[in-house]
Amino acid sequence: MKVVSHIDKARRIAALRERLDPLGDFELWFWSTLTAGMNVFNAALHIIGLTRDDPVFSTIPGVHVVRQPDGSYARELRGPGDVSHVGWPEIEGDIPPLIRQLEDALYSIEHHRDPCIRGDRVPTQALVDECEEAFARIMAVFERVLAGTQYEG
Amino acid sequence: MKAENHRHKAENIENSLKLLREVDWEMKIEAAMLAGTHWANYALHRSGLSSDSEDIVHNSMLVVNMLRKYSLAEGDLLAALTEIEELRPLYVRGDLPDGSHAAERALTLLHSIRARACRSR
Repeated sequence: MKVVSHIDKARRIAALRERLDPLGDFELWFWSTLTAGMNVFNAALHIIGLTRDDPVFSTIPGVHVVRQPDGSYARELRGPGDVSHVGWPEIEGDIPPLIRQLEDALYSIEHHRDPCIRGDRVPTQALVDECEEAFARIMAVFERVLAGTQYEG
Repeated sequence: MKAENHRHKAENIENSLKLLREVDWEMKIEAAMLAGTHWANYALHRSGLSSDSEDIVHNSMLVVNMLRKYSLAEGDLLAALTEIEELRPLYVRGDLPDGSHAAERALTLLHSIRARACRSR
């Protein structure tokens, strides 16, 4: 997906999470945090040049939804594109520290996904605080990645 | 996860949906997927077709034989969930225009899933 769309989604969804109660609305608060964070990650990968911002949409690694000549959309086998989850697919090449920082922060959020969203683990304030701290790191890296580019501001 | 816990999570997600606005189409579609999947598991557990340890995560990730089995009993419900999942690459991981319209469709499908699941036994 295009960088501008990742940026738009990251900013809108980050604004939405501010309206949700982290514990009372945990499922959507958590999912918003993760989704905004993944849009930051993909925008950063595109801007740094590790992945391309083709106008195609990811499903599972290697399969993307692509606009067809008749205007419809269909799945196609393609190379690496947007990342859906950290490590899915793995990013190849020389990975700069900023990307590693994003991966670490995203992983510290995402490892709570299945236990809390799809399992019985009850979220706690400590878990919320951990996710908040990781999300703050993600947004700080986001601004550093955007600084000096055509996307700044 | 036990059926009643699926129901509790689905209802909590539906309650949070009230805080979302027209510009929040991605999270409306994701909420429909998350709550719809909990309702699907609720229905399948209540009918005895799947155990508490056999939760669906995504329809698209199901082994074909299991999808066929579940569809025999809950075909309409799973078809609605599949339609929600098909919106995700286009409007959540994609940037097609008119996302708010797609979100309304996802919520309509969620309502139908909920109604079907609440009739299950």
